[in-house]
Amino acid sequence: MLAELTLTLLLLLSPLALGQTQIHQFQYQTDEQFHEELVVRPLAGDHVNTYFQFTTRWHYGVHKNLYHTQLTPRVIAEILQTYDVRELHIGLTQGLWRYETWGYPIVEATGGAELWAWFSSPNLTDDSVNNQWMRLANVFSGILCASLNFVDNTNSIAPKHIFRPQFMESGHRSQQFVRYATLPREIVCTENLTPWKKLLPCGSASGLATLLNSGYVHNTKYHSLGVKVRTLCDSDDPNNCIVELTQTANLVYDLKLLEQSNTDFSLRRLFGMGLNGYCEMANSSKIYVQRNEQGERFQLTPPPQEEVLSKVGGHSVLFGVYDIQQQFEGPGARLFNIAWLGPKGNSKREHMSPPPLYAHRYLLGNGQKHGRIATEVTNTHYEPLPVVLMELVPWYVHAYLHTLRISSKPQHLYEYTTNELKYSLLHYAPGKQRVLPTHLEIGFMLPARSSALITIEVDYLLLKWLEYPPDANHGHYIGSAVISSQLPIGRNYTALPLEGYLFQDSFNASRTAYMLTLRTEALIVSLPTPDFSMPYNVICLACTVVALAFGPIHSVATKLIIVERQTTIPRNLLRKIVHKLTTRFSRRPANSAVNEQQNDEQNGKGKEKEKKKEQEKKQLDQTENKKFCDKQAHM
Amino acid sequence: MWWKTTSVHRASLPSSAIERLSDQPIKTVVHVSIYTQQPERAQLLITELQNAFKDSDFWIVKFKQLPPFAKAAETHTPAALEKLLLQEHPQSEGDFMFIEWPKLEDELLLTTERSALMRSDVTSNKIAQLLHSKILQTYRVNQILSTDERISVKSEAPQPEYDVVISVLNPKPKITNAQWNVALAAQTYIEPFLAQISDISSYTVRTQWKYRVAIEAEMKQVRDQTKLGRHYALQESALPHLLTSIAQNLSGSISDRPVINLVVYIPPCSTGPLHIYNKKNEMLTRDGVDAFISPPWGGFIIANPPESVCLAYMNDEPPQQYYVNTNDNMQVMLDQLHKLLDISNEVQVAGVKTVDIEQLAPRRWEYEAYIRRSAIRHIATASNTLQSLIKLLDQISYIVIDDKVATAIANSHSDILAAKAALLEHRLMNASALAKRAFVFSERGFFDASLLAQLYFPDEQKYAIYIPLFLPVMVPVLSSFNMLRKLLDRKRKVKQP
Repeated sequence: MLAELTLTLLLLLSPLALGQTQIHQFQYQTDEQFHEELVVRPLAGDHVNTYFQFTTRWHYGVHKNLYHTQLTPRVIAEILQTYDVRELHIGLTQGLWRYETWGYPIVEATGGAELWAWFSSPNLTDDSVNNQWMRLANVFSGILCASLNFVDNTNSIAPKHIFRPQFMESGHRSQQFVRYATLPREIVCTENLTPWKKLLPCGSASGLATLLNSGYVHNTKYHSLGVKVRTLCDSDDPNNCIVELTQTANLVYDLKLLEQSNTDFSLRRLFGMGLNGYCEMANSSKIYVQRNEQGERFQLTPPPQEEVLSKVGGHSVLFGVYDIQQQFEGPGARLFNIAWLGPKGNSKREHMSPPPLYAHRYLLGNGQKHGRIATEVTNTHYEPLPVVLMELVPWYVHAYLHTLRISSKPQHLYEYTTNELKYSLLHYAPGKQRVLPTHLEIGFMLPARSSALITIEVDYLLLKWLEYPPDANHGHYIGSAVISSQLPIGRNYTALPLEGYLFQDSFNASRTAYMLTLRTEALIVSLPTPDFSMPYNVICLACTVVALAFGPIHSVATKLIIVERQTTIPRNLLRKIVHKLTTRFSRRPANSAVNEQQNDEQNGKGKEKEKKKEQEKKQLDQTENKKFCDKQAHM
Repeated sequence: MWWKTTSVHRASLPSSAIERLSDQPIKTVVHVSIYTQQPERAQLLITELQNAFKDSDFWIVKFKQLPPFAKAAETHTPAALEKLLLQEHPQSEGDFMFIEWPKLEDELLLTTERSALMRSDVTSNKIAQLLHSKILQTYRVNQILSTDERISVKSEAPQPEYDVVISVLNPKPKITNAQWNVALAAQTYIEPFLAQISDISSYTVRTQWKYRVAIEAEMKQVRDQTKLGRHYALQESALPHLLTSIAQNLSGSISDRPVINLVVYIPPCSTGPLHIYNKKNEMLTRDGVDAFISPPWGGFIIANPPESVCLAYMNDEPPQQYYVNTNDNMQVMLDQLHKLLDISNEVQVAGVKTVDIEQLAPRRWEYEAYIRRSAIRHIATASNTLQSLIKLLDQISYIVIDDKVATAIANSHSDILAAKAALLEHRLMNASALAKRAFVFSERGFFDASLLAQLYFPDEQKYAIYIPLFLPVMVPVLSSFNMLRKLLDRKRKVKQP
């Protein structure tokens, strides 16, 4: 495969390499291409998939040429200069792709933000890659206005088996590093679409990108923006390189949500406006419309200029092709529109056969302490399929490897049998609190027409109060699992081949096997969430307790205890209070009288006091005796 | 324990030394030598000039007389004489030399090196004026060092690194099929020039094309006598808005280096040719150039397509491919760079002529004046930064100073002192390097993020914790004071009688 890639690449490069000597005479490089493509595929259940792909392919040759950009955005060139990144994928997605009814998407993405990159360079160490990875995420956080700056070592892993590099390196095989992170909580909106469009050579001023109006894009059931950068260097000559920037927008419209009730639709109804032209910088601007399967029931106006039959792995797909540059050849401004007209009054639903492999994920268990993550992978094919599954479990969830089970069942049964599948490959990197996420990769053979249920038990951690995000009761996300497999047939398979960069490269691209990656649903776990006003309550309560304790201790330490005559105190509570108040008021003048007395009889003062005390003592004894008698009487 | 855990960490700083920085003025030593055929005349000039520079605030000018020698009479060109003189008396950076040449047309003629030719009848006043306005640029230094806000100019000190981004804007590539190897143009014109002046700052040149970038400005059609019969007028007052609309489309960069933007705008034929007009409705185009600068943002050039291209457009012919004129645009761009980097000197002195530049590099004396000025500016800015930091630390008690910041500040301080000493000892390049380092350190210290660590938890918030604890505790304590007072009263009463 790799050899083949090299060959095609070299074939591509050779005329360009010849042309390079002429650059100085012929002013500027013409070895930069830009292509815009739109694929429209009607899906089952009145859904329409529209897929935009904008490809900029720049044969820049020497590294020094990266200082001078033309169609490729300057930031991409600067990234290649600053970091040792060779391949980069970013996905910003809202919604869930339904594999069972929609088949496979052209470009895979998981909900929220997803980012993975390959780094390669001689003398690259793990630490420097970690550092570059974080800075790279920060850069794209600025470029795409997404919260990618939250990517750091606590939520990134280095996948071992699941991702294969799509870039090509020059010279000897130096060390390659890959990093992967997801931010499932990320919400994708207009603020991401606008900077994403700014990366295009024509921006949103002309071309297919004018169709991407945020008002319509964000009304879809599923939308996913993607940026993919890869470099392809001649294996013998490091000064002969290509950088490829692919920007994708994958949308799924629900026709029922569009205003009219029948199933007709058109570009104007999907995007709010017709097409006003093509991007002047584009080498090709094409619209592909799928005509068979779900597309069979629609009539197209205007009819496509040509039709292409693509046979991939024994499965054929018919596409109608519109060349926009031909459509707009003559002078004058106009709008181009394609309408899909469905049969009238036909509401029969044909049964859609599910794709060969699909997956689901859910959470088992109850309470906020323990749980079980279950991933269900189903093989509907008549042959066993090799499956690799990767789990990225965040650090606030503890996974236990010894609880990992893979149970299987034949497709027609509802309950899982007790027999377990053996895994042939396992990579496990345990997580560390607040430092590392748990990284699990398992590979196994999934028997024909059967499902496998992979479960692992987890504990939920109690976080520190500052670690909770705003709206803590929303729950914490566990990113989706990534499942990779090799399909022997091309049914529902539309992804681009490794060496291709245009959608039309996927036509008739029959291979011995088709690399497939799927993403499951993301999960929300509700971690034990404290009452966040608690610290303040504790402070208030503790302070009150201290203050309350302080009062009596203070008064005990400073005040004199004077026992009053019991007989004068009435038993009734109300009278007690009245008595206390009256004695308070009456004592003052009494006290002053006593003082005067004391002044008068200063000499005999000591004796008097002693006498008083003796009297008091006697009284006390008397009262105690009385009480004692009372008690006896009661008994 | 509470006090200890909430106390703000402050590494020790040379605060008093930093506050004393401005007591010692920045003084620069400059060596100027004078050659005349009669030694008496040189002697006279030197005494007069020494008097003139005696009470200068910034300069210590040391004049030297070059003795006449036999070979001098044999030379027929000023260049040969200068060469001979330089063999005898080599110059170092920042030096200057006046050579008498009787057959001169003007009173003084500035060469591109470190010398000027003078006629025999030049007065010392004229020489002093030349030194102040051109060589030493006293008024600029005055602007930098002055604390008077009316004189001082708010311009920034040169940063250690810059990105120079040349952007070619072609809003309608369908109509104007402009071709230009801007990369090659930048490599042949801009990069060699910037390489010559990279002592103070280092420059990275990047180029980019931008398509479909609309400029938002009102353009009025004006009838004229050309084949096209019309051109478009861009009002001078609309230029700031034009820059705003363009700046947002020039795409950011991933580094935090400041960017100098050089924009070449190719107006489409539907709104071209485009010329700038002033308020009085006069066309401001000079020598076919429509350009303006806006320091420190950058420069803007309007590169109108040739007449034939627009003629073809107006006749509905398919668009013609044409090449943008490299030489014209690059000359303008170089001139803009001179102005943006503040190297060139525009002051005119009567009777003084300056030799035109023939190569890319700036004139030697001009460049050295720029280095001298930047060194002074760096020292002044760094001292100001450190002093305001110390002042801030005095005012706001919860700013953290960790060891890293403290070393940066200490380094900056010692570099400022060293740079001042180097200026006094006539080591210009050394002083410039030290001053630059002091500036970088001071900026790093001032803008370090760790300074803000505690800023969001000011002292006032501690009361939120203290008040619930201490207020209830205070009640019995206060009431016990009341009791104490009563007790004392009683005692006093007991004692009185």
